[in-house]
Amino acid sequence: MNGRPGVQEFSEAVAKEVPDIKVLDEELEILSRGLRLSEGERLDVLRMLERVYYIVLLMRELQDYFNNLVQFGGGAVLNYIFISLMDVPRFTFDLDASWRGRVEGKRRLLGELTRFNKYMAQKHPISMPVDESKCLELMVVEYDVEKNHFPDILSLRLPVITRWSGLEFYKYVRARTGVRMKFNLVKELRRIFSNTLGVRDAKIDYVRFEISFNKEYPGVEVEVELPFKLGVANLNITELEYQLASKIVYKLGRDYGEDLGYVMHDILKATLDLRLLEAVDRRRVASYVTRIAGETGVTLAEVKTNITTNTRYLVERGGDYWNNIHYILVRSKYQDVGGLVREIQRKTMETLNP
Amino acid sequence: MLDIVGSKVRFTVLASLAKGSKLSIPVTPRSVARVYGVNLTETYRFFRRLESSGLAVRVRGGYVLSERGLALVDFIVSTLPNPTQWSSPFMEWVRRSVPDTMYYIAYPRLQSWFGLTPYLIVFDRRLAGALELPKGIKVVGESSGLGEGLVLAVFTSLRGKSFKYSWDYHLSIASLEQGYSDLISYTPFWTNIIPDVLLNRDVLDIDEIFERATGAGRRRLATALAYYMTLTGRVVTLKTPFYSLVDESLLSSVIEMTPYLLDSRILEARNI
Repeated sequence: MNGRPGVQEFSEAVAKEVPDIKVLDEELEILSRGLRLSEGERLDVLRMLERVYYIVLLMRELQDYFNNLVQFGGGAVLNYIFISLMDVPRFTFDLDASWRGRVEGKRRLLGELTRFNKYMAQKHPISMPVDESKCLELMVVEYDVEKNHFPDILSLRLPVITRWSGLEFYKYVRARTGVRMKFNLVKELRRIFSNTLGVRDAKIDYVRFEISFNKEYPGVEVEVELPFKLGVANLNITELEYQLASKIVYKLGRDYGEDLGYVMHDILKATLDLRLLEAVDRRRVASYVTRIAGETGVTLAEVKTNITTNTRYLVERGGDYWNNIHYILVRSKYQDVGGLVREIQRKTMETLNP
Repeated sequence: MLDIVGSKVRFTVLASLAKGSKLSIPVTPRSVARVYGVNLTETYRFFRRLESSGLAVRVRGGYVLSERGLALVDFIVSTLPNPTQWSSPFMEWVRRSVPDTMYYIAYPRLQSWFGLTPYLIVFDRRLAGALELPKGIKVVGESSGLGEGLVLAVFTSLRGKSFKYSWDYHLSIASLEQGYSDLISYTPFWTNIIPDVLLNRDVLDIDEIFERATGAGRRRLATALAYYMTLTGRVVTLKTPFYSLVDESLLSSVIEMTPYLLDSRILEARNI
């Protein structure tokens, strides 16, 4: 079929590493929990699920490789691992993790990720030919130059091949390396993508993730069945109760003052994640709220007042954000954002006033 | 001497024969033509002329000076140039004592740091035991620390190595990629050298450096490259599948290069 070195291997790697449409379709059925979605909505969800697949895969690989050194938390874990067991998830495309154990500066962590990259390059080898002899490595972690603004959070990204999101493969190569791929090679790769993925101009997108360090969060190990049939994993996660308490104090119950209008999206995300209050030890959540509020110098009464203010604002003005594609499944199930937010607010207050 | 003999071919043949004969090592027309970059036919012709005039004799492995020719050795050697740009005692010793086809000098030609330039003299392994190195040149692996003026030496096969005689310096000098691959492979200061390679990757063929390096050199470069790409988010396209060469035991040394790979303002601002 071709004589160019690396092309055949690349073709096999694409078929192995990029999730099959069938896998995405099956996951869509599970996540949508019998909801009737229009053809357009189904396609939107399917497109997002391709990225979610990579997030879950990355989480599994980080856990397998670093074992007790990493701990996961945040929207991706809450929605794709836990909320999806009881309700429809909101979509999120960042993975948050924390590093257990002390590290001096980010370079030490970047060294650890270099080791991880060797593991990834062996387990998920995918080298895309860019000219007669050279290749570009995909599915290895790199420092995210566009982010990384905080001293104790390392922002990273993993370039992956997708059908729908990101830059067309030849544009990505040009943007990242300055190499203009020759037409014959583009043609050859297009044929591979067409045969394996069903799209001619496959894209390359980043799975973004962050690792915070030098901050301890209460953690637990949970055995979970990962979506997309990615197997069973023993995940180290930040205790769900602690995560929900953080969302209450830092997001829903925070005093934003005049900036309230600018943070509606964050408040809506946190509110939706608090659906998980149903499934956790709410007394433990309340106790963490008291502790975190104390650490941040606010009283429980202030937190409660802020929750009332913020949710009222969300009900009145949050409609625009509600239409965001990230909430496509939630919106299909709960047509009325106001009703849902009020219900979650009631549960949150109930948790804080046992 | 070039002025006296009037041609580069004659100069190179006489200089090689004189230095080789002092060490009882034959030289071949092919190696002379390759290293000095002179015409091969002319070189053969002049060797044969010296042979027919009784100044050189053909032996197994090339030519050496005859009894008559040996009388000229000291004169020939004394006329070899010693340019002031590279006039250290070590370099002068190399110019006068070692056949130019049997060694080359590797140094970081794209050096991007302040400080003394380290030199590595790569000798043909047939010279091991035949040469008496001046004090101050340290043989890699035989003693700890660096030589005076950062001059190290290694004895190895020169088969397939890429080097040329420099008519400016009157020394055999490694090609850019050969030099860097040797410095990374053999020297203890490889962590100083690799940032040069990474920061000048646009003018270097990194695949060739991989090809020319020893196993240890390949592991060092692969580990540094993998760290550099993770650290900076920059992409380097290669044909070498370098991730399989990453050596985790070298990571600590590689991480120490960080200040040489990124601007200090970025390192501080982002707590790297």
